[in-house]
Amino acid sequence: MNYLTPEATHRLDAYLTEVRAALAGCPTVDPDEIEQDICAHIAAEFPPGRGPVSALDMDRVLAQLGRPDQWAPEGEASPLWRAAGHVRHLSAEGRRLLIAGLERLKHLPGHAQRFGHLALAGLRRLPAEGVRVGAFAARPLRAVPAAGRWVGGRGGTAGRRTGGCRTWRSACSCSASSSRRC
Amino acid sequence: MDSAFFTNWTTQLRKGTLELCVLTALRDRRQYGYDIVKRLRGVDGLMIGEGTVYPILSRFHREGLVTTTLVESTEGPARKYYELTPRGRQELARMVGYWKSVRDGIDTLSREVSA
Repeated sequence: MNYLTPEATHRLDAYLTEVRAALAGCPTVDPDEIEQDICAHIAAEFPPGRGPVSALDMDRVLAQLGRPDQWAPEGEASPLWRAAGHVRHLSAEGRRLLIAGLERLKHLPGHAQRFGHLALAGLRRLPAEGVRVGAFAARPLRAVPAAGRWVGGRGGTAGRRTGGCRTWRSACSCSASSSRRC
Repeated sequence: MDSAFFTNWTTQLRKGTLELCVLTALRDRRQYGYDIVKRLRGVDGLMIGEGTVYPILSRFHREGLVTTTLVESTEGPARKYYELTPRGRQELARMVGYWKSVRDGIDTLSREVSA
């Protein structure tokens, strides 16, 4: 895969975040597996030697992939996603914690899940959502991996995000920077 | 015809046929996800989003219709190859048989009505 420009990186991150939000709480889907599928698809779309990947290139491929909620099995998109439609208004940290919170809810009994979904859905209306969601979610969620992280995929072959730079472990030697090279 | 009605109808039709096409694409040899998507791109009206193929593959895997193998790639992340299981072949044969039967029935009906 080629360099991703910072804008392309941003588009991809935003898409992955929304996919995770749509998948949060889906009992039959592994968000890490879906993210690996998306990344493998994008890597195949931009083979080596093609040149830098622009935001327009990335937009085209993401549009072909379809809406983020398409990745959830029918009827399983997270209640928050269905209620809120989008989570774009949240800060990046707010979205990460929100998604982590939803993933955490999967392990609770049914009534607790419903209460948790309502609580998290209510938080989206708060002005300083990142801080407030963080205060709500951070303590019990220490064990939940950060959304968007690619570390330790199946078979140890997935990409790894390091210091803000997403790389393919097998083929990339780039360091943390605003651009990716894979 | 009402647009919403037609949209709903095509959605319902697409759902089943996409599953049939994904299995058909795997009939001859194992392929990785992107290869399958590329093959299905050529079928008009089959996919709204290419991302719909991957959850189907994942479900087929859970249901024992396909197996997966991760193969390292020099061009990016490891590629996940999908291959039909014996049960997958069996289900594909049944689906193709059913599809042909429905298609022939519709053709016959159309001819009778037109005559």
